[in-house]
Amino acid sequence: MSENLEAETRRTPTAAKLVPYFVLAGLTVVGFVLAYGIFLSTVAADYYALTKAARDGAEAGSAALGQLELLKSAPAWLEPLKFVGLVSLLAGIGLSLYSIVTTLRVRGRVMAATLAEVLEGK
Amino acid sequence: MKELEGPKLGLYDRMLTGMARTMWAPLLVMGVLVVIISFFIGLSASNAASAYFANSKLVREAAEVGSQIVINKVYFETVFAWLPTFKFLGMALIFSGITMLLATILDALRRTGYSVQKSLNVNIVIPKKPWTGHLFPPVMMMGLMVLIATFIIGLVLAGVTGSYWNHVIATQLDVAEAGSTLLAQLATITAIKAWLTPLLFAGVALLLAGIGLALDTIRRTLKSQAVRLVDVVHELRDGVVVDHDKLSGRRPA
Repeated sequence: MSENLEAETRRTPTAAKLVPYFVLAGLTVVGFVLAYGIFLSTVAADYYALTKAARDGAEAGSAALGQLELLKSAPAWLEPLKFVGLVSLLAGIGLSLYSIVTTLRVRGRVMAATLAEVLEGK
Repeated sequence: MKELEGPKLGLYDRMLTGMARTMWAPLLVMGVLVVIISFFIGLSASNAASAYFANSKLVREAAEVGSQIVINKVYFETVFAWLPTFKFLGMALIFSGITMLLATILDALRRTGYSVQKSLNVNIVIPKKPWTGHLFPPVMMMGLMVLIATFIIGLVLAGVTGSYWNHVIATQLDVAEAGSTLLAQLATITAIKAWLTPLLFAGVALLLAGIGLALDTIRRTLKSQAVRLVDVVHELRDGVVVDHDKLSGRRPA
């Protein structure tokens, strides 16, 4: 069995080194979306505590219209951002699976190189 | 097929392994059933919504409490309040089943490593559990607990939603005064919906993180087994042989 193969056996594949970063990035993004959602819920609670007449009659520049603007516009970027977080986690899973493939290939080469010697030794 | 012998595990690991082996299949099946049932409930709610919106705006907003129009409205609004949380609960059960299946794979790898070393009569080396192996079960459990909690919150939200919409729109809901129970219910409904959906995704994110960590644990286990095989060759070259049967006092097969 070559020294290169022994060294390769002990090395961690690059894809495996990236997995924690993708998982952490995904959790951070989803955590941010949750925190922003909690902030939006306070805005929604304030806005919908107004009567319908007050909400419908709100003038340009008023606090109520500002709240409505936020409530209607935030989902447009918040929704895709949630999926960005999930995609980052799925990318981490994909990289994990790829690094399993790489490790299995190295393991296969190690078994091919060593089993004959092991069985001879037995 | 007879199971391979494995190393002695601590109580916590024995519990986790036992739970994973028995629970992965029921969780997967339950998850699939929940998602399928959600689809049919969604279909029935959509029929109610369709019947409701078939009426003109004037008729809908003037419909009296107890009329079929208001009953339809209450039905589909309450279903739309709890159904997404029920669907995500189904996804949680499926992802938890997948994570437990990965834990079962890890157990099989551990037993294989132990049995192969024993059969080769070499020192049995069980590598230390990696940090990913310690972390993935609690992360998976957190994700599952979050989605169970969101389902319960969804049921509570459905109760508030049903209570709110069981009124005449034109003469009660639209003219509700500031500080009234109706406006407080509307504020509660919209506020809860604002953070409930992100919380659903946070639960799914935790479950996916658990799966990622479990897969990384499998990769580390495969790597450590390859490294051990290299070390075994060196041990055999150096003439290190261990008679496990003699050590344990058993007669060889």
